[in-house]
Amino acid sequence: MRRRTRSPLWKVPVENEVREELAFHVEMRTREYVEAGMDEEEARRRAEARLGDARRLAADCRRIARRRDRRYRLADLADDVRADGRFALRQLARRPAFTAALVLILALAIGANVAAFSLLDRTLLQPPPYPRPQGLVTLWESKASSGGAKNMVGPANFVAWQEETRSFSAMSGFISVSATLGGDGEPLRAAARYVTDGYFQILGRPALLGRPLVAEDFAGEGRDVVVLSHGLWQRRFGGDAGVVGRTLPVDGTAREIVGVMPPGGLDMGPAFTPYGDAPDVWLPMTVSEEWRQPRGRWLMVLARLADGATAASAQTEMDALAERLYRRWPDFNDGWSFLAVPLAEHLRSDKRLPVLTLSAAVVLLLLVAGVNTAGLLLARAAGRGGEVAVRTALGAGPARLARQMLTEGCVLALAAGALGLALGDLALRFLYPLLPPHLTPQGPPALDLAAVGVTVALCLLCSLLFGLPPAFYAWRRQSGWLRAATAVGGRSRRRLRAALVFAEVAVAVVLLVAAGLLLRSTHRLLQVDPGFDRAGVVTISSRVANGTEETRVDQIWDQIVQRTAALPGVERAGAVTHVPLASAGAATSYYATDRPLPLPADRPVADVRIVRGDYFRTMGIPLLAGRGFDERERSNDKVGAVIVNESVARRLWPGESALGKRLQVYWGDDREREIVGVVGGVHHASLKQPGRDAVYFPHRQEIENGMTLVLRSGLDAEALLPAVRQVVAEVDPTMPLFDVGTLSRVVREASSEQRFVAGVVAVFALLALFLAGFGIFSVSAFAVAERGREIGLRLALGASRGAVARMVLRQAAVLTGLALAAGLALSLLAGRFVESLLFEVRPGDPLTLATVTAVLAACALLAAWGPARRAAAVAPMQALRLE
Amino acid sequence: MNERNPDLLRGTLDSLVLKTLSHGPLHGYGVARWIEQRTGDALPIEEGSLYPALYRLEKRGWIESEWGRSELGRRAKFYRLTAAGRHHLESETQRWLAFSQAVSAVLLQEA
Repeated sequence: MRRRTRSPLWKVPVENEVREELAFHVEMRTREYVEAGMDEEEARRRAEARLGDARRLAADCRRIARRRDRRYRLADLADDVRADGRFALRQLARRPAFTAALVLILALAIGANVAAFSLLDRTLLQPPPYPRPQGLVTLWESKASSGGAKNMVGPANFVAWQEETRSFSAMSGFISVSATLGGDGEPLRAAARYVTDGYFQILGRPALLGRPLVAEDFAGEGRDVVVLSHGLWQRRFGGDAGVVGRTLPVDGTAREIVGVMPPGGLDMGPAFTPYGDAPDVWLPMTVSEEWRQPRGRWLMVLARLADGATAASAQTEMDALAERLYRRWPDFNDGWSFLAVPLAEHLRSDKRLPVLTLSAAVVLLLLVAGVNTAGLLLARAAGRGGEVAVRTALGAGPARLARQMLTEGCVLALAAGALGLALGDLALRFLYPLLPPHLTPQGPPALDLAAVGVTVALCLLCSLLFGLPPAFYAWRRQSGWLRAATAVGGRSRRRLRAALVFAEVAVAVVLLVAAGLLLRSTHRLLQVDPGFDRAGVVTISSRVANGTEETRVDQIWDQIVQRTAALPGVERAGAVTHVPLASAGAATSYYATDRPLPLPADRPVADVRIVRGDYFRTMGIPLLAGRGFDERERSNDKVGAVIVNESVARRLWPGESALGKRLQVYWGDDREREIVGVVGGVHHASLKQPGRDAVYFPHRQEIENGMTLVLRSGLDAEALLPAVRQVVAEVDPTMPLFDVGTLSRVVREASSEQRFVAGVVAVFALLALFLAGFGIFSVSAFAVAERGREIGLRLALGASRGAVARMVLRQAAVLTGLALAAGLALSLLAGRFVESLLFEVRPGDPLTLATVTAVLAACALLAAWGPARRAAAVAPMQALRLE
Repeated sequence: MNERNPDLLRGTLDSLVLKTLSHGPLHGYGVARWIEQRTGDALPIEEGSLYPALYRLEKRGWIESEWGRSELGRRAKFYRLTAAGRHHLESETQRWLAFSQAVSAVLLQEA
């Protein structure tokens, strides 16, 4: 306030201020000299001389004065803001319930937004946690008929890439396999990643202890060394810093531990870890001469771009190389192209859609909440006509009043922002365990600076959104033309409020439709018949150490399956390489030997599963023709045995029996395989993706070390585990047990992402529905309150109470109907966005649209019911006497 | 003017101005006269540095100004000490006392 008293001064131009002050000084000094007896002219000359260089002095003073004025203006502004803030707080505190409702609505929306943003930031926005991440690319092959799907890389092509490209400064191939760790304690199954030279140098992350793998480790056959992940180091060695230099048996080979990697980062998404886990150990893999044979595609490839190269320029070079390599190995490379995909993009690809859908839902919810709040504040601003009039009379200008309204919006938004941040943090903690794990490979998302920044931005946006309509209203009320006719003002105000509610309801409809479609999809997905009987089957994985003789592996698994089948409580037992829906398994191309040989690019692809024991009956997969595998299959049979699914039989031999026909399958060896049985189709990869071809080999003929036991039993997994552990330990004490579960859990988890997205969107939609209902209620209630006199008049003139109530309901119905129509139209437009998340439901699904319409109509009726009754209860005389 | 230690002098001038204004509002010329009369020739005030000092002190919020009428009815800019300025003057006085006592103690010490 003190400064305000001097404010007229700094409105005097600084030039005048300084000039006048200095002139006054000279004049006084002159007068002093004259009084001392000097003549007038001499006195003035000496007075001026004493002041010195007047121009420079004035310039100095003006410069300081300008800075002084800037400071004062800022201080005044701060004073105003403080005063406005205090006033806003008083105003808001006068209506605690109203304020609390507003803040809570907003905080919920902001909290949801912050949580979603943190998730988005962690999963989609942040680059992979490596130095210079933009230079990291993944390289793939792709089959023309697969529609651009990424496929693993043939070692022959990999070697050619390494030798014949210039776009990359380094390139490393790697595979992820299971390994058994020995040493102290129980044998432990670990996710092992065999990498070729350059892997760690490409990623560029230093080791936490010791060193990563270096060139010398790849000399000759490769050294027996191992690098541990941070997680394994903690689990197996308790974080012992002296671990480097010790020995760790990996699959029976003693390896020297040379380093431990830091936590985080080296798990590069599910596409890099097909068996579901981040690597526990890294082992060197050398490129042998065999790699140069064009056979099989099983490598994953990581590379760093050379200086000056981009992913696009690398792709161009790879395209040219694909052409050359096709001519070199036409059989192997027919129909295959090569892909260079930036690592960041590759990591994002499988989670973009769900996260973006969530974010869209959250933004829509914030929009609904914001519009709702604006409507409430507007209604209140209208109710504050008296206050505005008084303050105007006391000299507050329209700009001042508008600023006051904006300040109230800011205070509300700040309070909501603070609460929202806390709610968002809570939501993240609560949501994280429910999130599909592949969405957050880098651990729980946390609120970070970026999230706080987003909150601040949201708050600013909200305060504008909330403050502007009332501010605009205050302004217009001031500017005269509105004051002239309050009736017009009332109507335009009602219209503005109706427009807000219209927007709010329309957005809520979009959310409701999205939620409805997602819920219906989820329902459909849960009803999908996976092709096997999920109830009462326990799954337990184990593996024989690598390097064990094949006949020994065969014996071991034979004994384990037979002896577990004989356990009390177990009805049937079998084993398989990959349980359906649990993890990605192998697939390869095949053709029938009794049909013309198709071109390589035209050969169909089938999932390959290797089974043992009573697999099909244990799983409840129906045998449609022929027989299951049994003792007739010998490991050295010239012609192998194979069981195919219905889809293979129908594709190759429609209308005739497939039994006894022969297949050539690209798998390990070149032997032909005779079909001994046909079984029903199974969803191997996902519930959404039906009808893939599948071939099954007998384990005895295609030995795999790691298998999963499937046990049909009335007992649950925990009850069975001790007995199974005992059996396995008796057969081979070095075998670890892992991934203990049930088939029904596997099926449930296969739909977890769908259920999660549908659930969250449904919660948002419900919140939006509630807010929309509140909006309809408030617009009806205010209309009744404002038009009390009109209603009284109508009643006095003979309108029935029913007619008055109907009038209120009709208005709500018209508003809701219009908003519903707009919302449905919008959701049809937005349908393409969710389409790829839907399953067997179209974006324009009539049942969903009808349900949303019914739900919204019920909600609107409910919301307008109270105000309608209040209107019908108006006492005519009293209403007329009012005002 | 002491060329060797302009900082000390400027700080001193600031303190003198504040002290002057502590007796009541004055215009720039009045401040100059008051200091001249109190210090005589011992501390000749450079008028060229007085006005920048006044503006600077005002910028810092230690003094504030207002246009008023001089004794002779002429329009003049009057300066007044603010609460912050009074506070600053007190602490400067303390500092000066401590400083001069320390220097005196050294200079006047019997060898």
